[in-house]
Amino acid sequence: MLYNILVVDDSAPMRAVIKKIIKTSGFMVKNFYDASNGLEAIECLKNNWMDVILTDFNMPDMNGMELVDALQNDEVLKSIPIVMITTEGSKKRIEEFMKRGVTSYIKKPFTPDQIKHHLSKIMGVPDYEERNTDESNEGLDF
Amino acid sequence: MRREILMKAMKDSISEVLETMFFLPVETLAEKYLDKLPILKKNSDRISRLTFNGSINGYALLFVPKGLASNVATDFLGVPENSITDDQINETLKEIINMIIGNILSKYDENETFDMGIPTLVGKNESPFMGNNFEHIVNIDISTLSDQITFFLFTDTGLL
Repeated sequence: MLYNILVVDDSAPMRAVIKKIIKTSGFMVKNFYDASNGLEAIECLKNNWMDVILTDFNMPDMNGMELVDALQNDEVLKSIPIVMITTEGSKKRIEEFMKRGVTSYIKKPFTPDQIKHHLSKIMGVPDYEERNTDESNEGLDF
Repeated sequence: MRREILMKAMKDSISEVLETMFFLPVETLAEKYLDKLPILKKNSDRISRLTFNGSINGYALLFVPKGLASNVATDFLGVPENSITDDQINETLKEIINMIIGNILSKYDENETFDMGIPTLVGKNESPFMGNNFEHIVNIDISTLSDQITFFLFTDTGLL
């Protein structure tokens, strides 16, 4: 299955990098959609269905938390999982995110594996690591 | 002492951010506590700045040589070297300082919620310093493969 992902961040380079890292991770993306703040994200959601929203916290006009609050007030949109991508992750702030409807959070910097693991878990997609086992080495002891 | 905790947080965060997100291996060259504003040599470094407030208040400055800034932005964004724009370089530098400061503050005090400002680029004829109210100045010089980055953190009395 392929997923529509909305990336919300006021930094265009950061949106580009998030998309690049997700692509590198191998997570199955159908389409990426962009928004530079919460207001643009809401506008985008009026016309396009998203499977998951990745949002920055600190943005002008409507920040990530205000976006989450707005989506929680919509019967349909509140079912879309939201991942907060944040540079600052104090315990208090993370507790607040989760209480107000954020599905998961990921702290920058992050690796392709970390974001793939998050997205796979949220979407219920198996995210197996294939371990290489060389049976011929078993039992050898030098 | 809290300032040792801050110094460690700074060193760990700088290498974590630059190595993980920007694929830039780094090494700390020097770490200093300063008691007055540093004298800056006139050069063509790009300077990004970010303020923060919480259990400590202050701001950070990141000095990156022009050539290195361009290379880092090119790699970060995956664009051809000759097509990178000034805007893209500046946005990349703002993102670097944003991530570094976010990490530093989380490591320094994971129980505190800090408010971070919007990262900015310091203009050519603008002083990067924000007054003399900040008593504690921590400086780290970092070596990359090709160049040197300088990082300053200015904080108020909350550090002790």
